[in-house]
Amino acid sequence: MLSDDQMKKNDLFKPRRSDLILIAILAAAAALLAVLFAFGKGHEQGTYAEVVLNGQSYGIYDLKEDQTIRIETDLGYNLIEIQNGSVSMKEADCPDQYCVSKGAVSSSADPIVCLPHRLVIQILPDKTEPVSFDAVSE
Amino acid sequence: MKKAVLAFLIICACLSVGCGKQSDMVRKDPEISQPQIEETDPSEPTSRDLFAMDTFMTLTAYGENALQALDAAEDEILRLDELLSTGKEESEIFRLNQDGEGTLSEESAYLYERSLEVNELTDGAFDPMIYPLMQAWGFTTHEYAVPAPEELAGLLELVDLSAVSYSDKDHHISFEKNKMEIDFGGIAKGYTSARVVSILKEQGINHAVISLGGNVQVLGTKPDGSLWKVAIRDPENVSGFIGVVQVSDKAVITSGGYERYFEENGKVYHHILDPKTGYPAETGLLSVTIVSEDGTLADGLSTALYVMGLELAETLWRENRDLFEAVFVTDSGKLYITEGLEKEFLTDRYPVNVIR
Repeated sequence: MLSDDQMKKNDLFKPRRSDLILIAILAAAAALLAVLFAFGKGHEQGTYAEVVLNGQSYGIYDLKEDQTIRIETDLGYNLIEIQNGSVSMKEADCPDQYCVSKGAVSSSADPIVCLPHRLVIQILPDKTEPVSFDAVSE
Repeated sequence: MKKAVLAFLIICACLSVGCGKQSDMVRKDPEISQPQIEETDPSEPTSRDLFAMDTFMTLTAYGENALQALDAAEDEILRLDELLSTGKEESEIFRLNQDGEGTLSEESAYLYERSLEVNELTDGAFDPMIYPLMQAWGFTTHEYAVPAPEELAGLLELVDLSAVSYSDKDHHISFEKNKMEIDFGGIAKGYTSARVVSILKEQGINHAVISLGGNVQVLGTKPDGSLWKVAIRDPENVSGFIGVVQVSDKAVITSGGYERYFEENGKVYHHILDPKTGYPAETGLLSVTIVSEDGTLADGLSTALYVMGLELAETLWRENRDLFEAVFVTDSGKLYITEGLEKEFLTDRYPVNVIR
């Protein structure tokens, strides 16, 4: 016969269902962190621009690769140009053309906004660089 | 291991009772023990972008409660957009303009009284009754047109605060002339940024920066204790900046003709109308930035000082230097700052003239 104390000891070494759940949760968390870390790291190595359409991410583009991105929605069309490491709105059929006249941007605190088309071009923050400013008053 | 499980369960339990509304959700399904509240890393920014008040807004907050705080801030912005919009048929202001009279809610009464205050302070350069003029120029609809001089003369009659009767006791307001219309657009965004900051504060946030379409207000300092850096747009080159002002607990609000304008027959007409002439203000200023703890005041003053011109603006600042600081860019490319910004304004662009 085992004493009460010995029984408790044995219980400690027997994996319980709750332990397995915890291990599973920790493993999942570790995997998630690894993915996030790899993803985040990739973005820190260069500069990327995210195009956001009506609040939804439309795509993330590497500023090292010259390219044009044409976006057409019910609201109108925009032509985004990435050239020599900067991004600008090359063309748009919005009435005000403020997004086009803004020219190229390079700061994560200074997005290009095409308000009538609900389109925003946002430079993703480069955490290796100190920020030169946090917001733009205009 | 047992202790670890216990600790994990305790953390889950703590998280799930942290907030009333969220814990209601947890109780509905007791099988799910996953924490329902997302706690954010207080050293990392949490951001929210939204389109409201005919502009693009970005809110960034630091703190464990940042997500819930930003939810509350967004709700407040959408509420104020509904309340203050001149264009939305259900809004209080729309109904008041239709009826020519009404009883203002507590909040609209506050905005009306603040409008009167800025109107008096700026000798009429800020006027909440300017809305019929803004409509005639198409700045409210984006269908721009230069109104005929006779039309403007007629509309100027409606920009008349002396023909508004208002009781600060029961908040009843009435317009004595037909077709008079009010608009808090000149201070609405500044008021909204002030409200957002106070809501973030109530939610336990100590560090935040918000931009409501370029109307910037900051809460506290940056998380590392340094000042927030707010760049000021260069009115002559809209992809550039004239400098950076370093602030904590301040609104930084800029008005400039470059923000909204149209061209007709080779002439540029911008959206900052002089309530006394009905035409876009041409006073030799390209932009005015106001730095103040009071977002509502900063918003109203940025427009008003643009209308007043540099000389009158300087006088106004000297008489009210405890209320605000300012940055001016003139059409001859000169840059002026008020004395209080001498240490906080950084630029490599122009010689800086300091107003003392």
